[in-house]
Amino acid sequence: MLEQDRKLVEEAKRDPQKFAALYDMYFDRIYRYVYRRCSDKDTVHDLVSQTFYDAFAHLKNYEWRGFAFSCWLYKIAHNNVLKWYREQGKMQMVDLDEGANMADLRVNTVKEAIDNESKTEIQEILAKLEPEEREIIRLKFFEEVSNIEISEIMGLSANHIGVKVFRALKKVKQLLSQN
Amino acid sequence: MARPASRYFVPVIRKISEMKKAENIRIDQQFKADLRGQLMIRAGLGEAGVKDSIREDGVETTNGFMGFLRKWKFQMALAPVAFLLVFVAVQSLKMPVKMESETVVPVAGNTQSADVGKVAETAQTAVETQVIGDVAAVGEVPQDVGAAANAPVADEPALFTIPVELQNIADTEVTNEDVNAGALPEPVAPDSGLAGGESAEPAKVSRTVQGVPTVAERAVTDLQIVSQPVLYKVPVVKTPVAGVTGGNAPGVGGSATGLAKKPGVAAGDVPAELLEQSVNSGVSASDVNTGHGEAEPVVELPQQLDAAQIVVPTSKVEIEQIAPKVNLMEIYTPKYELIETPEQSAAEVYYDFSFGGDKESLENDLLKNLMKDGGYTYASVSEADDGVVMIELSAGDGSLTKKMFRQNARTHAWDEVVYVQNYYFDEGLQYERVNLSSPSYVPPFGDGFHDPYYYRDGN
Repeated sequence: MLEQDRKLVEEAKRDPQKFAALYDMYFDRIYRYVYRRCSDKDTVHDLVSQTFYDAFAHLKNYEWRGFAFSCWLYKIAHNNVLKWYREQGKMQMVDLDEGANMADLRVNTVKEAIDNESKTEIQEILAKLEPEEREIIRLKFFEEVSNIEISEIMGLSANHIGVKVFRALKKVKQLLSQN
Repeated sequence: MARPASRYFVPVIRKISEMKKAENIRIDQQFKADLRGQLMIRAGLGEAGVKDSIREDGVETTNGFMGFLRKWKFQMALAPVAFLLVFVAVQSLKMPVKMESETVVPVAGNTQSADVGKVAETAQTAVETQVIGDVAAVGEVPQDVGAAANAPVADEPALFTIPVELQNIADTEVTNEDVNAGALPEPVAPDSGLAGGESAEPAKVSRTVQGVPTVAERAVTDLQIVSQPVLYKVPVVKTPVAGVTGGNAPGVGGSATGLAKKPGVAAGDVPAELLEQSVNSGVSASDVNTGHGEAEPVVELPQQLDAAQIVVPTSKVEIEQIAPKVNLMEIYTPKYELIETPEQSAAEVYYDFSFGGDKESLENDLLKNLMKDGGYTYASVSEADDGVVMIELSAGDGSLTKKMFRQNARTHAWDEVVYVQNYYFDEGLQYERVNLSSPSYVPPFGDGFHDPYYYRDGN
């Protein structure tokens, strides 16, 4: 996987047209990542497009450090989202209702109702976490990124990320038991 | 510490997984395709497309200063600063400029009688005032009285120095109205009795002139101007000498008769009333001292005139009133060479050389204290060395003291210089101090040569 990323990046550096392969590979993950953090569809589109524009423009400056290319894209998306929040002057909670509105209508409505109940419960719990803990939980369990990659994305050490993951899970468990 | 993947967190992770599975995020495929197409277009443009993908704020970083100024909050911060600068500039322009000068500068020919007091005070500070006119005007009169009437003020001022003693003769203020009304103060009888006619030959007159241009000159025979402590150049209006008559001045006395023997000046040509005014407005008799002092330069006047009859008008108005009445007087003015007297700032101080240093500081700071402390009456300043002045102080009993001083270039204080005779010692010799009273002492060079110090060769 890492070797494949490396080859694609090297080819994209030589030929920008090869960037399309990287785009096709990581667009859905970046889109979901941004979507979970922003409630507005237009904002999601803007941030996603800006993330890929930045990656395309600065691909020549990318240095291979042994991590997946997705880490670099997550980092760009993470910075764009933070910047957007700063510009908006507020730290908004993730509103998945927007995503619910965009849900596939082919999904079984009964199953959807059950899922929404569980989703609502865990959403309330995640909303009580610190922003940094919430971000780590998303990257760890939603994006399935390793601690090392999270440390690369957030600019923290891997051990520090491990401790934060533990504290966040412990807090979620306490909140679940209370509920 | 339990691991995140351990059983301790299984319920939590299960919940999160359920939530992840429950979320149904639909990817907008149209947006994905559009964005891909745009990226490929830019990729096809090569470097231009890559540069076009750089966000605008990234471009602004290349021109960060202007981007900084574009921020609205900084522009708002500039507004009060600009207002403050404008306010300060306006206030500075509105600041009044006030010039005050309490010093009355005597201007030749323009000093009115009312300013005499102030000018006299100014003159007390031992300044030199210009003498405009001719010293001969003391005893002489202009050649053309008519011309003098038209131009009462001297056309060409002549400068010379008259060592005089400053005395207050402007005790009374004389105005034109007083002259016209004849209500002028009576002159005080002089000590020598010159103005009163008691002395037919006022041989030596110690000029006591106040440093003002309205001082009347008194013509005397064998006028000798005595050197006094203060030098003045007294501005004097070239006088039409309107009051010069021969014996017609009431109150002058018999001495006036025969003194004004100017050719063409007839007795009685000038009205007695005018003469009286002129005489009364002249030099006070108390200001004339005779019989003491010697002067230089000595001006020998070609005629004998009574000083009491010489009047200098105090203003132009007075000149116009008086001058036309003496048209018949034939007045000639002999030319005198200007005699430059050696500059002296104090009678007790004599400069043996051309002192080019700070004379004022020398006299005020040094000589004044030296002479006051030691009771000296005379000081002679000469040059002892480069930058060193030797001051010889002599007291009344004839004792003489010499001191040398050098002015400190930084503090401008006068430091006394003491010359010390240096002795030469040869370091190659060994010096021993011996006791002459000791019986072990043996004169090294035989009898009759006793010296407490002797040298002994090291070898």
